[in-house]
Amino acid sequence: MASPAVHTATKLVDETWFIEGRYILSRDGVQVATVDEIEETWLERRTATDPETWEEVFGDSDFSSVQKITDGAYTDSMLGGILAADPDDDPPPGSGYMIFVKCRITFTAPYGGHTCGKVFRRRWKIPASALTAPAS
Amino acid sequence: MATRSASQVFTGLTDEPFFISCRKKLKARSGAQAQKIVSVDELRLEREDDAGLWTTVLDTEDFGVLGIVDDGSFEDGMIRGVLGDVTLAEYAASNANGTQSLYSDHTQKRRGQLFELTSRASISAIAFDLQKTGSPTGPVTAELFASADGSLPSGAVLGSGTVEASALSTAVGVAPALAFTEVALSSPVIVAAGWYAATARFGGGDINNRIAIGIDSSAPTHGGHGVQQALADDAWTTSTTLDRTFRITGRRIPPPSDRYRLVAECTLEYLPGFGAGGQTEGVFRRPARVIASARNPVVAGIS
Repeated sequence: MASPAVHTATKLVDETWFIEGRYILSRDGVQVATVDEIEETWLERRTATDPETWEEVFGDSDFSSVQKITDGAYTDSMLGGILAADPDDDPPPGSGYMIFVKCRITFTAPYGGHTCGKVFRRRWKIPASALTAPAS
Repeated sequence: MATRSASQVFTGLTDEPFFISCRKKLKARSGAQAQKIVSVDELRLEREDDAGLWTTVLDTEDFGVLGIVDDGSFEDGMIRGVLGDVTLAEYAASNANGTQSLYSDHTQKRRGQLFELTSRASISAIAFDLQKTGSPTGPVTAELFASADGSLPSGAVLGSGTVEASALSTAVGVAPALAFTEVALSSPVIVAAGWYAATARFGGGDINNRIAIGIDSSAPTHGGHGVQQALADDAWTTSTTLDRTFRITGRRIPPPSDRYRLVAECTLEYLPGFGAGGQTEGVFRRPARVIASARNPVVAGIS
């Protein structure tokens, strides 16, 4: 699996995000699994790079409108939502953010037909601007 | 799954799926399929150390719903599976030689057992040898606690789940049931390697309508001790001459590293028209990596 594309946000709070799961859920251009249920969403911030360490900055209750979306011909393959935390809690600018969405997925019959878990993720970058909170 | 030759990425945070495409090794020089996979005899997740040596981190029992599927036009040309649940710790129900009671005003509020995990894990269920006497009703709660050094439980409950007391099997005298009742935790609990305590608690019933938990007081051999918490002052004590039978179920979580590979040892069968037919063995590998996150942090010394 290739590294997830980077989502660039002017800030984190109240900004809509999407994760395209079609590349995870397809093979040779054919969908082989769909997202059944979204179990949990959270956001982490990288606190060190060598070795890489992370801390959780927003939990499931800080997100709203988290949903699965049909992405063109790929049924229930895209995830989206809004980080609805207190704007005063906006974390500082930086590139070391990652959003995680833990889901239940089900494979089509030719690929086993089983239901299992999958954690979708996408890197997130907040460029510095006059509107973003100062780096701590 | 867009590119089978790319690394399989795991977060370690759920029962993630994986595939190993084998078609490149199953085709004849003409490009046609010459062999198919008959069975997956062994599957391992291996990690390379700094000296270039590979060690097994997960083996066949750590993988669930293992199977073989078609890979495009190649019949039975791909291996599929998920990271599955295994028994992480256990003192078998067959060791029990008696029971101890739990009910609302019993002097012991919780009874359980200390155990050690040798690797990071996601615990999904706790099982005890539970049975009822009379007609107790209400939830029996199985709980997980940390234990700093394996001597006593400490801190808050890490995770819990319940089973209805009335649903337990009925006791026959003081004999243990010799069968586990599994209690699923309300959500899996990710824990590091170390000592923990699994306990059972029943706040309902009375001396005539109670539940009991299986124990081995004859010649206990489990590496941990039995533990109990007093109703009067919540003080924990250990029982060095008694173990409680239990089972902890969950998944082993491999620590983050870029240096993993999935290795599948398979039995292959020649398709009609290729050679003299018959079966052979084949080994398939796929690079894998486990990403770091706050919930699956880096372990010192593993790169």
